[in-house]
Amino acid sequence: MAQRYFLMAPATGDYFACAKAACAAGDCASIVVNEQITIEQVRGLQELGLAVLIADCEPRIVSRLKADGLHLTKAEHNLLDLRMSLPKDAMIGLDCGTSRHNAMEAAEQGADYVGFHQKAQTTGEPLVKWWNELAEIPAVPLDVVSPAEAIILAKHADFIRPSDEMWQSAEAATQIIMELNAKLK
Amino acid sequence: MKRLALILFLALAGPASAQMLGFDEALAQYQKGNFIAAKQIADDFASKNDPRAYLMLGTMAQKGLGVEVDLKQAQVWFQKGAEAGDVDNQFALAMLLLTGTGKKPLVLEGAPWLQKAAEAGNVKAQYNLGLYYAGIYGTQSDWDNAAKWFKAAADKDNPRGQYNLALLYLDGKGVPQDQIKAAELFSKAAVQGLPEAALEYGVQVYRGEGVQADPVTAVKWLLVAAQHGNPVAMNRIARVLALGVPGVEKDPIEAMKWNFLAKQAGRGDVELDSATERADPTLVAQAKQRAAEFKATPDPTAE
Repeated sequence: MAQRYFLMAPATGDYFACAKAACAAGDCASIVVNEQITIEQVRGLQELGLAVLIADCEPRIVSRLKADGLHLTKAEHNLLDLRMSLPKDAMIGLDCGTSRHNAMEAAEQGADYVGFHQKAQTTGEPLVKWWNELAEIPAVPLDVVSPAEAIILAKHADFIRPSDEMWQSAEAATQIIMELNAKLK
Repeated sequence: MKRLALILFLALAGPASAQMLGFDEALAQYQKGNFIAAKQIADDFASKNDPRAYLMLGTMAQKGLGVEVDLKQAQVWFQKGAEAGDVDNQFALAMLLLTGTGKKPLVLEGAPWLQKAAEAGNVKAQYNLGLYYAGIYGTQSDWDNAAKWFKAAADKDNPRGQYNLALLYLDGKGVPQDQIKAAELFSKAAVQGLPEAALEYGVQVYRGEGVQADPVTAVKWLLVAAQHGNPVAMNRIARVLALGVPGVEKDPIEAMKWNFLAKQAGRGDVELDSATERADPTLVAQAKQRAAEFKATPDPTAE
């Protein structure tokens, strides 16, 4: 199973060059950005082959920005209600922290993926492992991982979030993705 | 013996006189909140298969008015009325099943009743059937049918039908993408006082999407939505008043007021917060005071 990369853009700064380098170096699936992004920037990222997910915004904003989906970090919405105001075929993902309950509920409400914070979990089997045995939609471990950690997670996860150092420069992005590629081969 | 007969006669006459009161009296008692009295009359009408009585008794059981909440019993009453072909009972039964009488909603059982009531022309049923087809109850979205039923409700001037149909026009779901139609529908729903529609129409007018750009009119509609307590509208109006737009003067106190209120409602704004930190403390205090005095206008379209 080949892992794809799940990118979380930094809150500020111009990250386009880094995203571009990362996409050239490895198989990057999507990027989570905040709602300050412009419609042109969204299009630029989409042209790199990334699905652009807007973090915690009003669903209408996803539509206005012509983005691909909504990445929520709070389990306060009924995801089914959001469908009405999102573009057709928009993705919805929920960062569930370590909450199994939130993940189950999100899946029931038609989420397209759930995110877990693996490192915040202190006991028991990895949440992504538990999840994959149980559910159809993918789980994304949202912690940043080192290449060594990525090997462990790779057994259970379809996606890997590269280290935030990748946003320092295009060269750093290339290097970090290459390192992960080599370890995950 | 004669005396006993008289007492018996009076006792039997009791329910009969209640019946003579007519169902309007049950409604009057219900509206006054005299649920016990309303129930006595309604029970009598229910025994004569009157669907109005089924609806009243079902609603009382559903909401716990004068009786304990008992959703199963509510279902029994609505079902009687629904099967007798009464549209209001069909709608009530559908909504009860769709939202659930037990642990799980009975979506598949509820939908056919909603369809029946919608086809019979019940506007609320038409709007809710649109939501059902949109996938709000967890079924696969069917945007063609969603658009069809929102349109049915919108044509009868139902503001939520208009609002939801407008959303479909914006995204081209079940209808061709059309910002002009969306703007028309948002404005119709906004005029009727639906806060979400006022917000969307305000944003469209601000951006000149499907309608001539006009910041002054846009601000007017954003303000309507904000007055209703819509957090996104509060945030947008705060931004507009903080920066000023052509035709609308900057108003730092009002901007801070709306930002405080938006934040309370869960819509914080880092940039506006930092502007507040830099602002003159006496102005900040005034803004806080105004925020504390703010009372949201109720949504006139709420049911």
